[in-house]
Amino acid sequence: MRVVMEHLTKKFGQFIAVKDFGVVLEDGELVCLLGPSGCGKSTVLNMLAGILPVTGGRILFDGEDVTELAPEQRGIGLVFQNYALYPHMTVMQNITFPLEIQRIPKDERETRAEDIARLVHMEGMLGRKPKQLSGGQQQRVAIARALVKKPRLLLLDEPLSNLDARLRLEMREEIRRIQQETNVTTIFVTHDQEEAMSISDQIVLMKDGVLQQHAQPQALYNEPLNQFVADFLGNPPINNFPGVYRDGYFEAAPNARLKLQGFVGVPDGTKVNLSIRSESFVVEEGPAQDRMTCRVDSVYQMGKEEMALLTFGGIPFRAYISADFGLKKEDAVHLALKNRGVFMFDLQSGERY
Amino acid sequence: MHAQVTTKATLKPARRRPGVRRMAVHIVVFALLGAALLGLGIFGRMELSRRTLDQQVAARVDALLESSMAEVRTAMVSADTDVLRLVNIGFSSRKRALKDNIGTQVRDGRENLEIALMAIDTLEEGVLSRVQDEKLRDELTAKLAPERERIAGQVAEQALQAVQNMGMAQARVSLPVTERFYPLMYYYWALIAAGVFCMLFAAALLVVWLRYDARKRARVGELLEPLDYLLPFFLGVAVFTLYPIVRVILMSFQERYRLEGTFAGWGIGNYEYVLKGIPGTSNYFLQGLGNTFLYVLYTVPISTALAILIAYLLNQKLRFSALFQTTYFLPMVTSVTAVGLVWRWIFNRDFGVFNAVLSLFGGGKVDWLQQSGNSMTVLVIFGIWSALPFTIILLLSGLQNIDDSFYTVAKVDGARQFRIFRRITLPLLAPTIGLVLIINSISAFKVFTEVKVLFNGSPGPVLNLYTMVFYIYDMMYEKRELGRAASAAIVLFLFILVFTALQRFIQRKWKYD
Repeated sequence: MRVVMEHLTKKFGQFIAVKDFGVVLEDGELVCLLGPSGCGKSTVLNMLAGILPVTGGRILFDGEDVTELAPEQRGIGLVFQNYALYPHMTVMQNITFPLEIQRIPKDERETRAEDIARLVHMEGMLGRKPKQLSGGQQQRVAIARALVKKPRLLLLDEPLSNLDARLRLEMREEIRRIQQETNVTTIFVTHDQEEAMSISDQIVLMKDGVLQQHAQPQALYNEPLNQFVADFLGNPPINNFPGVYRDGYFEAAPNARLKLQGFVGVPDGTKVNLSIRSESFVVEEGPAQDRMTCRVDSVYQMGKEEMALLTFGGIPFRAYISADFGLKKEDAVHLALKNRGVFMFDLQSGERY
Repeated sequence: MHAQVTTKATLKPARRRPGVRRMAVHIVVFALLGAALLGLGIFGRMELSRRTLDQQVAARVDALLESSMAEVRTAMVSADTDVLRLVNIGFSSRKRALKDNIGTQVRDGRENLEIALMAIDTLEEGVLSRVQDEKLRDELTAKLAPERERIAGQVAEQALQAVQNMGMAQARVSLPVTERFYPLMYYYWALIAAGVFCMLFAAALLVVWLRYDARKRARVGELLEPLDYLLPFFLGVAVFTLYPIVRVILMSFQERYRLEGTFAGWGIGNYEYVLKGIPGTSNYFLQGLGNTFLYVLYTVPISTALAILIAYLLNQKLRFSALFQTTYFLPMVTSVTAVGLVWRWIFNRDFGVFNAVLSLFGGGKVDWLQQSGNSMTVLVIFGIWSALPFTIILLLSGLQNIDDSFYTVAKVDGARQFRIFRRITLPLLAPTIGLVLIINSISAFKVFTEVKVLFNGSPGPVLNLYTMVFYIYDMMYEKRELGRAASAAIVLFLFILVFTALQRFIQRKWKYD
């Protein structure tokens, strides 16, 4: 189902939770609503579900305006962070409850529940109570309950937050598999950028109720629109060098200069942030003006690569360096920059040059 | 190997063992405490026996003197008023001396018969010495002589009786107010028991101390630490809960037990009386039992159902919900007695609100409080009203423990209010409902104040509304039959026990996790 949100706004009293939010989600996509805590992503989800009324704007499902529709009329499956499985019902009763509400005959209910249980690999556990299941199994049941009534849109509100790290990885893949098998349009709310990057077709990144960027995960990582997007994605976080851009040179400090190519239209003397991903550094000898002369503070072994903590112009940063160079503490190295993963943002506005 | 052993040995003295010291302190403290308690108990016991003995001696002296005088008087006195006067004067002149004399003889351990004979002789002598007339003297002697042996026997018998009657309990009662009072003597049994317990505990610790090495001592000492923290609490429980319970159980088997500690004997007579009553008269205990059961059966389900409804409504995000909450919780902060008086007015035949409302619907004037057929209805209404607030609070907290996400999911799935209530709220509230049912039935079993207040202190208008506790109260404070009251209390306890056990058993099926 194609979901369109136009100028969506939500106010709680004076507080603006979501501001002029506009996104188009294509049919069958798995979209992540990503952002730090309190950025309004859950509010958007609740407005899509119809749990929260909209202050302004429109929501269209396949061209139909559902803004004023009650939750049950929207055809939505909802999965909460705490799963919200009814503790007094068995797995079977939990899964069939939405069908019971629709007054579907018992036989059909149970066949459908068995089918969906097979999909989420819970077919052997239908007689159990939620307390007798592990966190991951409860999650599967919650997804089954959301899917059993064949919703047009599946909403997952931080579904993996209550799981331990190993289960989280497993369930992440499971959700992806289930989504692809059912091909239901899915919105997945999370604050974990790694989760969002690995699972989704599209990521919608939000901050303070405002849409920052809507793109494919890789595009978001490689072409961030602003400082916030660049900062939010990536682990380790992107390295920021505040300084001044002048005559094609970036100046972090009087003795720390670097000649940069490819940045046109940046006015001389602009205060900027040079943001460089950790994997975009190469140790390479060459003309001093094209190289960052850095001091090695410490080196961590990471397998085939080493993570080095270095300082350039008094600013500490992290870089992945091939282990072949055998860097040691207190060494001085010359680093060149790759083409990818180097951005320049305005220091004040965060806009990208 | 060898090196290891030496290092261990050198390390050992350096390690602190707080447990060892704690254990030593316990042995000393418990031995001292036990000795003190034992001493107090034994002293109390001795004090009580000493005072009892004193009382027995005094009673014996009194009996010997008084009955001798009375018997001799009856034997000597004829219709002649002159003789009567002479006898009285003769008695009074010797009375004080005679009493001292008897006292000395009693302390010397003389037999009652011997003393009685001596007393008769003295009295006779006292009377005869006053009589001038030779003839009268002979006559009086002649009157007394054949009776002497019989009188002496009778007096001795009475003195023995007096001593036997003066048991410990009687001695307590007849202790003069002026005498120095030693209250602990009444609890000498409890004190001796506690003292022996402490001593035994100390002795057990001492045995452990002597038989085992330092490490074991330290372990025992560490075991003692939690016990120390429990001790203050346990003392309170023992004194204010355990002792009374044991006492009530004992008292229920003591027939005709009185406040001063006397009782006719051990047996199940109290239970027989309580359960059978006096044949041919109404058995108020059985009546109370029936009334109490009816009261429980009416109030508990109705008040719980009402409370669930009200709590559910209060839990909705209503306007003015604070106002509603205050209204519903108001009965809890008011006194049952004060509100009971208000209810008396509500149910008043001529001026009551209840009848006024009924008359709006064409009902006639009903005498709620004075007619026996209506009293249970009135009591049940009042009971439901006063049980509601606490029930609502418990249920409200139960409702607030139910996560909102359950409702949200159900709503998104399209469930309506009633289905959500029946399929989600109610099952999730079941544990709280079970708790409420148990608490409410226990307190309903103990209904008393409501009756007392509504019916002006009597159990219903025509003694028709006894409840179990009212019966206990009546036995205890009105009839002063403590043993019967105690056995009624035990029967009530058994009923509550069985009832709650039954409820718990049924409730086990409700558990959802």
